[in-house]
Amino acid sequence: MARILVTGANGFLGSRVVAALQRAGYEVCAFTRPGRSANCAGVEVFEGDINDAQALRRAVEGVTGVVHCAARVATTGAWEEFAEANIRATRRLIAAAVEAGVERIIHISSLSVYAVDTNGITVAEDSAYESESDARGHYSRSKLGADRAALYEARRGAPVVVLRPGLLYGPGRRPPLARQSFNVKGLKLILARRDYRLPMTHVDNVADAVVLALRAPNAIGQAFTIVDENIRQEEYTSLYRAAAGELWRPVYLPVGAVGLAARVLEKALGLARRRSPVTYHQIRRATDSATFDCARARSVLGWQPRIGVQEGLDQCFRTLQTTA
Amino acid sequence: MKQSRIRVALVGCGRIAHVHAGYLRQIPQVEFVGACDLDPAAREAFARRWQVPTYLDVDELLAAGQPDAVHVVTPPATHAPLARQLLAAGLHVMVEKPMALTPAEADDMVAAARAAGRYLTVDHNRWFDPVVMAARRLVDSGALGELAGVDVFQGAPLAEADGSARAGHWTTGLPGGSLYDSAPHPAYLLRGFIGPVRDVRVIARRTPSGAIEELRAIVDGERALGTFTLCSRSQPIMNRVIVYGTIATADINLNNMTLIVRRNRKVPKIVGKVLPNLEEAVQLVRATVVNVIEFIRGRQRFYPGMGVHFRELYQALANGQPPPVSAEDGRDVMRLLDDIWSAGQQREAHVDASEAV
Repeated sequence: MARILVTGANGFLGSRVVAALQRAGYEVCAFTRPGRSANCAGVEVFEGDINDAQALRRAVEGVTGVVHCAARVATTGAWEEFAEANIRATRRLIAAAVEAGVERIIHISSLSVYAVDTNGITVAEDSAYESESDARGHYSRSKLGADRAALYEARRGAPVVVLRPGLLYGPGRRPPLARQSFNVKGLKLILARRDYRLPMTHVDNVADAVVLALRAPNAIGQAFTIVDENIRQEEYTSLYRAAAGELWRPVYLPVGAVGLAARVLEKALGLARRRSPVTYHQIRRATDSATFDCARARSVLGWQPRIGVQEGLDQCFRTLQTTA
Repeated sequence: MKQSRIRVALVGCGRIAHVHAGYLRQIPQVEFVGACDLDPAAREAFARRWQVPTYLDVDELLAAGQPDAVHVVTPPATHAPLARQLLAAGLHVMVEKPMALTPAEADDMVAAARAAGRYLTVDHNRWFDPVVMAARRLVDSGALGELAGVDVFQGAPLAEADGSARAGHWTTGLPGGSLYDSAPHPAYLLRGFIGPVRDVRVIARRTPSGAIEELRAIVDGERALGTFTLCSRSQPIMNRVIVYGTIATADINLNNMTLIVRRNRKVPKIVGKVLPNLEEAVQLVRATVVNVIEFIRGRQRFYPGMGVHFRELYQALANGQPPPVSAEDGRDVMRLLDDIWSAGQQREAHVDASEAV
């Protein structure tokens, strides 16, 4: 039976990938940080530092496929921590897997690698990368580096497939209402246009894509965008409110004015040779949206979203209520 | 994925890397994409200041940063191997001065660039300083008349010359001691004005420990004779270039960024004793006022020629034109320096014309 190693197997996406692989008949083993393997019941677990080459070598031994879900997802921290966890770990894992003769390596990337410099554009796998200096922070920058590095190794012969999933949601977590939203006394302030396209992606749909990417004959060396639906913010908000059974009122903040304020702040602080905490570009990233085209995933992987947004939201809030 | 701008990264996150980053950020054709350094503290400081990714080493930079061009701003002993590696990976390369440690290394680098079909250039930044550019324009336009001769003078602190102040710093390990770090500037400035070198004669004095403390070279270029002075003892420390023409003379002060042009005036002798002084005073005051205003506006910065050089380089690269400083220019400057240095090994020496270039 084919044996697959999943890194970050205890995580939000990783745990669903483990379940999907098991359903698909794979023998699954997990690589997690020490002491983080609590919810990896039923699989063989390797605990270790993902940058420990020896630990990685042990974990990839006898494995036919690797799914790299582990990443440092945080809004704070030094660049070096992100570079270690997201870029170097990816490179070391790919190197160890290639050395062990692993047949396929699925790297979980992110939509944040794409440049969305014009509102309403359609973005596919060959669209421009976000620039390193425009990236929103260390996380985006490090995921950009990891994505480039994974495809770089693929060009040098490593059997790598890159998946770029959208805004993840799924059971066990309250789904995001928007890219940026704030609670104020029964109101939900949403920093987005009503027609902002949210690239909602259910974790189980990504897990399906992982299983397909391990098998699809022509997937190696390619990147695939995985987005269930580019849903309009306004439509998503009402589905969300209905699924949550909540009564708050959404308020859409005037994005033009907020962008202008950010630009003024940036210029003013720039004159004082200081960096603005909020940049116009960041606001643009929050307010400009793209339609992410998943034609390649459909044709090459044979992927399609099994769970729609409405069903996914209902399921999320149902499980939240049950656990509460 | 489509690329619109030239992706440029730095190899090295040391002091001069920050200057490169500041200028690269201002060039419209360039997307500044990061840097690498083996030292984690230097990496982190660089990432914090410039908000770009920093990488462990060249290997990681190539994989995760994927630049189109890199500036090598590491100690000179690493320039040749890094340039070869980067050129072979298909990148355009700029190296900081000195280009390499020996002319043989420079030859190797030139061959690697030709084999790769990529740009290799050297950061001859002062050749692009605004005052030098102004003097170059005077020469090119014929305003100075024919070129009669060029003097370049480079001061360097004595402590730096014998290494005592910078013990352990990479500059002390250079072939000519730490003076070698400043020597490329006068060498490329001289060669830039007088053209390819035909002959070099050198006299040098050394400290008791053997380090060169004073060096005078007379260099015969295709366009004119020139002198090259490295002076570690005179105070204040001066960096000067005087370009003598048959009509006028341009006197460049690289420390204070001033250019004084002296012309022959057909005036009565007594006025001729006064007028040139007044003309010099006016030029100095005007240059000083302009420099102060530019400084206040934040436009007068250290290493101003670097920004001009980068702009010209990336404009050329974007338009498929040759770089403003070719690999061969860099190599020739290395040969000139080597000639000066090897001749300076003796108290008095002469390099034959056939060996000079």
